[in-house]
Amino acid sequence: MYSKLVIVLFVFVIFSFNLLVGQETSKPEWQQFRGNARDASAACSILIDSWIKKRPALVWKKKLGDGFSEVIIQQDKVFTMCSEKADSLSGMEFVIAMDAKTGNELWKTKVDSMFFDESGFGDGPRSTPALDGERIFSISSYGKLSAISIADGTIKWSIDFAKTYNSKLPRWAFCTSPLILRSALIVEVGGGESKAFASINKQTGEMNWIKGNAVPYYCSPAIAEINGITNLIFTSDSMLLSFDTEGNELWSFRMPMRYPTATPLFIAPNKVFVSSAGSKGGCLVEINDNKATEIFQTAAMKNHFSTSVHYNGYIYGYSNAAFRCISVEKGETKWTKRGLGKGTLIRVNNKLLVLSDKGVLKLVEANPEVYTEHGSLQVLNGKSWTAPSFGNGNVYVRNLTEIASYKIAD
Amino acid sequence: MELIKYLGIVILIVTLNVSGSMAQNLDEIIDKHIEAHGGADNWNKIDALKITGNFTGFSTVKNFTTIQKQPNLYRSNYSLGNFNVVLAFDGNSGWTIDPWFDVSFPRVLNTSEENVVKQKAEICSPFLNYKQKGYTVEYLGKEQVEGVDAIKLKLVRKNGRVETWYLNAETYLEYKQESIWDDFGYPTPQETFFDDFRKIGDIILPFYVERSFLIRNRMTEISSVEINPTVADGFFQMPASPEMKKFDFMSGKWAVKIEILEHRGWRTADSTSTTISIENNLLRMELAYENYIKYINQVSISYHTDSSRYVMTIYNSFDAKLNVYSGLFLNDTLAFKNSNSQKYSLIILNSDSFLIESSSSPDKGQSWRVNDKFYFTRIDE
Repeated sequence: MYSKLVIVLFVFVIFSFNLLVGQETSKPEWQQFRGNARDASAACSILIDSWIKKRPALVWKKKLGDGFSEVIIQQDKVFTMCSEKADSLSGMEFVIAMDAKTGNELWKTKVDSMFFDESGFGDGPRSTPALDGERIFSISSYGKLSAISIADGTIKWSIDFAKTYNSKLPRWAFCTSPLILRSALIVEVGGGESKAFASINKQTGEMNWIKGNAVPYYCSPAIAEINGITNLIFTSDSMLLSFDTEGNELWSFRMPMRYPTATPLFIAPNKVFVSSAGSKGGCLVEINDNKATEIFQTAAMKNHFSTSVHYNGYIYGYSNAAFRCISVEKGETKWTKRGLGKGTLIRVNNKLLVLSDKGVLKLVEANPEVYTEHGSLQVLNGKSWTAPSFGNGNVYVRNLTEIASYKIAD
Repeated sequence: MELIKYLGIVILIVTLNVSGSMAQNLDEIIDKHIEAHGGADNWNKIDALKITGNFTGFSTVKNFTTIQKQPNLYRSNYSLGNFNVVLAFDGNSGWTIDPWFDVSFPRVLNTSEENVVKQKAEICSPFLNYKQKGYTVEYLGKEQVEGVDAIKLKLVRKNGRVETWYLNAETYLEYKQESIWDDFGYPTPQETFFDDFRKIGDIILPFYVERSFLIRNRMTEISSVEINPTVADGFFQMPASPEMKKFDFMSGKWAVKIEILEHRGWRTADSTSTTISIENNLLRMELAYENYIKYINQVSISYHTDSSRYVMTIYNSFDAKLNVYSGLFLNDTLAFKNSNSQKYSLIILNSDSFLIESSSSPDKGQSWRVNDKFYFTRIDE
């Protein structure tokens, strides 16, 4: 009797878990832009001794066509977006699947024409795809959303934002990354009045709802669970906007800055930090009863392309090119580390993996009292603006020319 | 009444003492700052510096070379994104070759840009000999900057531009500077941080300089410094564009003989002189002569990059008409036409003489007849 009860309970737990994550066949390690919870964090013990004594082991490194997309990870596969030039004026953008252990290509699917940046800041896709166990969802530089089978790379459906919603190509192309929410895909469409932010059925590509007023910009949507309500958070010009999962606006807030690029940073239980590289810097808002109230503004954290991370009441991030820790309580600077250039970061447990724009990866203690660096390694060559990803005990890094995997944890 | 007098004297003495001690403190601070850089005597021996290293802009590391010469001459070659940029100050004005502005030839800087190059052109610290340079400095107290105890100074340059400097209170070397910088022609506030001070010969320089403004981050990492290199004359002067450089030899004074074709043949109509100047990629001369009537012609030649052709304008004061001609070089002859009926040919004879011929066509360009000849011969000065 007792053993039957255990089995029933076990089946119930497994079933509930599957419902919660949207019937996923296997839980991805790094599901989307900024990880599974979109907070740029993972739970794992990093081998600090390896950093200090031996340095992290290179698992593999491969050449990769231009692109800024992060690497996403599901068990034994990694995925990202890249491009291939046909000549100096044309080329294609792809979603690529690679073997996580070897970096060997499994499949590569064309999704759209390649974006060329005339100023020389970097060509190719910007957005990071998202995966749900069966499919991977990508947004090309020209705004084409595609659903691709993880098994074989075939395109299941696609929506061209420009053609369907008249979304205009931004100066630096479509950059925002889709957000996975159970059976829906949350995206910035940027089609203007009433066609800005959308929830799309992952399976069919049909629109669940489309709301808001915005043109495409560079700030990806964020997700926050506030007082038991799922908040889908977007920005439009100087507005910070939240919608529930049905597309009803929950609250809005006029930010002191315009057009932040960094994604709004949710700080549980009910705060959101927004930051831009302009003179205003950052702003912390608190949400109570679906009302947003400014707690403080701070010029101490001016995120450019890189979003900060939060840990235990402190925000770690790049204030332009100063790597800095500020407090959530008052926004005051706890410490500043200069000389790293610009960069990106993620958190693994209580450690920060900080990738400089010159391709140097540093292991830094997430400690507000003092900047403590455990080690540093040149993992990529050349301009590196893409944040690292973490899964299978490995850190995955990529830039405009190459992608690599380093073993840093068991 | 006596008490008020007494109090007044006390206040005056205290005020004089305080301001005297502040001035003394300021001078001491600046002396220590210059000493930390190697000392005024050693810096006064520096005529020029050639600095090379890495410059990071838009997260891309490229080489740079900068040459500075006393008192404030500056020229730097560096890369920003996909473009190679030249930035220079000739002691009076700044110029650049900056493809970010969609021009590939040298141009003068605007006020915002020139403000930047003037700051860059300062050899050593601006506090060296600051009084002789007409700068003023004010002590603003002590402040913590990112955990560093710093002495805060306000520097006002001769042109009124204000900079705030933070000297490390322990080393007296600069830690941070705030001033108005420039972002593609627009003034913008910036912060600069200095680090990695190293001794080269008898002087000390920051080998790491990091500058932030708006979303920009620029890093300068010095790898070598050559003291008192040989610098060619004119190195800091703004050159003409490659196309206009062909006219360089024409700068100066010229004797001009004007010959006119008449029924009986060629006749010398007049002999005159003119001065040709080439500035900002524009050649200009005023040619005044008489041939029964008085002509005062304003002539200019420039290069039109979009059409890849030279353009000559001639303003004729007699009939108040401005005629525009365009042309190309063929060997040593530059032929300008404004239609198929009139043509000017500039023929380079040698470095001290050239000829301009004016021709007309009776048959829409099928054949040409030379009407006037202007012989230019250099006048030795």
